[in-house]
Amino acid sequence: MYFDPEVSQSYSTAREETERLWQESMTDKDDSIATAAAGGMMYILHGGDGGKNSNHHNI
Amino acid sequence: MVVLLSRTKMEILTTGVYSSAIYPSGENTLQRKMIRRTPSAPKLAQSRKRPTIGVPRHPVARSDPRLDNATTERWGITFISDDTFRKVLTSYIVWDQPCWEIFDIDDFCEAVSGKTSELASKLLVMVVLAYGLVRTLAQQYWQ
Repeated sequence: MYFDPEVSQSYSTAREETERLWQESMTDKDDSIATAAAGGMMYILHGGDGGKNSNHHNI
Repeated sequence: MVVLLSRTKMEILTTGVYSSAIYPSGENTLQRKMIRRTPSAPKLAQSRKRPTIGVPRHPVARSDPRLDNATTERWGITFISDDTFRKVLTSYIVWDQPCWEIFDIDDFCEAVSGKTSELASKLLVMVVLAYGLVRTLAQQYWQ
């Protein structure tokens, strides 16, 4: 088992950046289609429950 | 006992190059004896040796052609290379988009490539990238 270091390091960075952009869009009350699609992706990325009770994706 | 073998099969048996692929478990004792008789044949353990897998693979071998013009610089992403960026997005397109279908993938590809689209959003690109990255990690976990 060997992880690509570029991928493993990039994931945490991308996740933090995603959270930051999501908070910004919520603050700005952005209601565009792209933000709605991103919200759906956020729901899946968090494991379906907002990340509160799931560690399914926490590798 | 008369054994008739084709020329190709006889070459394979005497050289032993493909013996492990054709007879992986070595149940055929006749073939094993013929391999051991020839001086140039490798040892059975050597012929069965598999190459070490040390290079991580991505879920996709090549990126989607619709993403050829997609660059990380356009979206202000500095922590990943363009090639990996395209492959990770392609892994989402290939493996996950048919399941979720949250947005139109053609519009998304145009948006990522810099064309005018209502899906042109750094947030959407980043969340798809994060999702593709974690799926790539999961793929590499099982290798």
